[in-house]
Amino acid sequence: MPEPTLKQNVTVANRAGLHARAAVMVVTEARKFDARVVITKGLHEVDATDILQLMSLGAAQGECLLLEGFGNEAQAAVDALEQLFLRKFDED
Amino acid sequence: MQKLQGIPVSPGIAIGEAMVMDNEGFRIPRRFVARDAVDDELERLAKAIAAASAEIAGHRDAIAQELGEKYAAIFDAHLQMLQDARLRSELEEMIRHRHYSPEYAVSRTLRHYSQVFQRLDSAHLAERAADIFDIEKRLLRHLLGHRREGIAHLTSPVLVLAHNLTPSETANLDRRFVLGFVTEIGGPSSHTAIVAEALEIPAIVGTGPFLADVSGGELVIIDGDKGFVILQPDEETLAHYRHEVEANRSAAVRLEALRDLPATTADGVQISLYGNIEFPYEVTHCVDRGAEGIGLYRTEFLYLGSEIEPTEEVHYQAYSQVVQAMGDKPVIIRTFDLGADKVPHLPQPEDERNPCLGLRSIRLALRHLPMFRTQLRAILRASVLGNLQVMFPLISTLLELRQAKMVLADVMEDLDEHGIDFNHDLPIGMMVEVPAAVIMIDRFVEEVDFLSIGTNDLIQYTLAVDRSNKDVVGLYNPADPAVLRLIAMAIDAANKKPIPITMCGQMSGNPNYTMLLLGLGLRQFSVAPAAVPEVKNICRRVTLADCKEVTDRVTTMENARDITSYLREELKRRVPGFGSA
Repeated sequence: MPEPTLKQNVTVANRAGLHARAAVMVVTEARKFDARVVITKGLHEVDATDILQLMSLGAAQGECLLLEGFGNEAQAAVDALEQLFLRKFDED
Repeated sequence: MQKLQGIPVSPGIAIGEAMVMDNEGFRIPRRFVARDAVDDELERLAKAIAAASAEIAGHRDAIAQELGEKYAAIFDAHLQMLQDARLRSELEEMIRHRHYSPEYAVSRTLRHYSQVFQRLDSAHLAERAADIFDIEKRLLRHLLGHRREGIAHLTSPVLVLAHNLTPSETANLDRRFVLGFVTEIGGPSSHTAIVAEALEIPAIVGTGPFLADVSGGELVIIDGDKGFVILQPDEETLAHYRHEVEANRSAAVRLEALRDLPATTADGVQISLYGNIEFPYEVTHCVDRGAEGIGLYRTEFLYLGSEIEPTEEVHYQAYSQVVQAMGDKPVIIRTFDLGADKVPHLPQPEDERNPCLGLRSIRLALRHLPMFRTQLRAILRASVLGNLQVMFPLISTLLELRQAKMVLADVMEDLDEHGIDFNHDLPIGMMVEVPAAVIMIDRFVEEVDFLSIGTNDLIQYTLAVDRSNKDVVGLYNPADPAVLRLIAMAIDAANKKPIPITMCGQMSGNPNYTMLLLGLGLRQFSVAPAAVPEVKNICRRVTLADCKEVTDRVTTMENARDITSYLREELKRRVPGFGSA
């Protein structure tokens, strides 16, 4: 795997955590870019376009995740995903 | 290996393939696909996923239009999950390389994910396991299509594992192939328990949720003696249980030799052993075990098996079948013993917060006379075919007994008017299962031809314990001295009159209590057919003097636990080799 061109820490701020609807938003957003984004919680890392894996992380409110982008549009992809977390997935 | 504890409701051990039934009654077979069929099966999976996706997308749009995008979001999630690339490759790998059928692969894979979700710390996320179930069901529906089968169509022996079984499911199952039952919910009086006992197969109820952890076709052990369900058993456990099955079989063969011998105590006192049944086909079980009659024919299933009230003819067919099969041996029919909530064609009770103390059994019968009369007419008509007797359940006052007898007399008059033949001297008895009836038992014996002690209810009402409530089930004990005093009172009053008295509850079939009951003066036992040989074996090996000694000692004891362990010790001491199969 090539060195990630970009790393960004995010915090799960919405009350419900990275649940089904939030995960859908992540997947939908991640697919828009020519990039691969890996999301890491502790020792688990998953692909941002894989909804079952994302939900399996069990990321609850207050937990810290690492976004790592690879590929041409890594910057844009990671920024877009970070925005989702900052917007609390339009919840609360 | 995973071991679950439930409530054992029918004894025995079964080892076999699991058949998992979900809430919709799907069964998921563990089928393997032939090498050259792999491509076809992959195609079938692809089509099912496409069809399920289209269905979800349709729901999504409909909900979005009706309620707004926000509410449709969950369907987006389902759609994403269904089309998840990783999921797809996992499924395809199972079909291509492990040759699983698509159904089995879907069930395995999605159950794995739902387990992962359920283990998540956040309750909010753990709830998402329900979404996975939803997707699994949707996919299976498309995969199985018209091949969806219930337990009515089986081709090989299985252990049925279900959340719950409806009366119609249990009534219609294929008896030849069901080796045992486990249900996640339900108590000792659930349909599953009753049917399993009738079929003489092990059953466990009330295990709590576990179906997500097992797939159809996996090897499962049901220990109906201890209430264990063992999933993915290890070699050692499997060997242990196989040995036990073998031992049980040879013990049964030894007891079979007793079939044609009389149930006479070692000092020559004659004991009568009857069988309890629920379905006419159980008559064979009774006859095969050497039972001298049917001491309790429960009639509830006639009502539970169908949506409409059973006609007089339906009753008559069942009763005449049993009476004729038993020849001149006694058959005691108990009139229906149900709560209003269990009878689909009756108005549902409004204020039934306490069904055990509510409108049930004889109270319900006296409230719905046409239904009661229909049953009584059928019983009377069948009474000319053999040695039929009738008894009323849950009698708690003399007034109730007299009312029930009046309805019976009225039906008799009616039959006379129409010139329909019946036994005018039909013996009439009552169940002794409410403490109030025991307290007044000296009056009751003046008004009935026989008594039958129903221990399950008598214990529940005496000790105020619901035995399907696992928090208090420990307080439910037939050996409680208060219960034993009531039983002694009933036996004494009947023997003094004298009228026959039988015990037909579970206690009478439990070998631990046989000596005690003999010592208390009981001479008639009505037990599950399978228990007849065991009880007979004990009767034949003890003297009444032995039993009186045991009873005298027990009456000095103050708590159920001491009594239970004393009885177990005495049984071992006086009937050597018992229970050491």
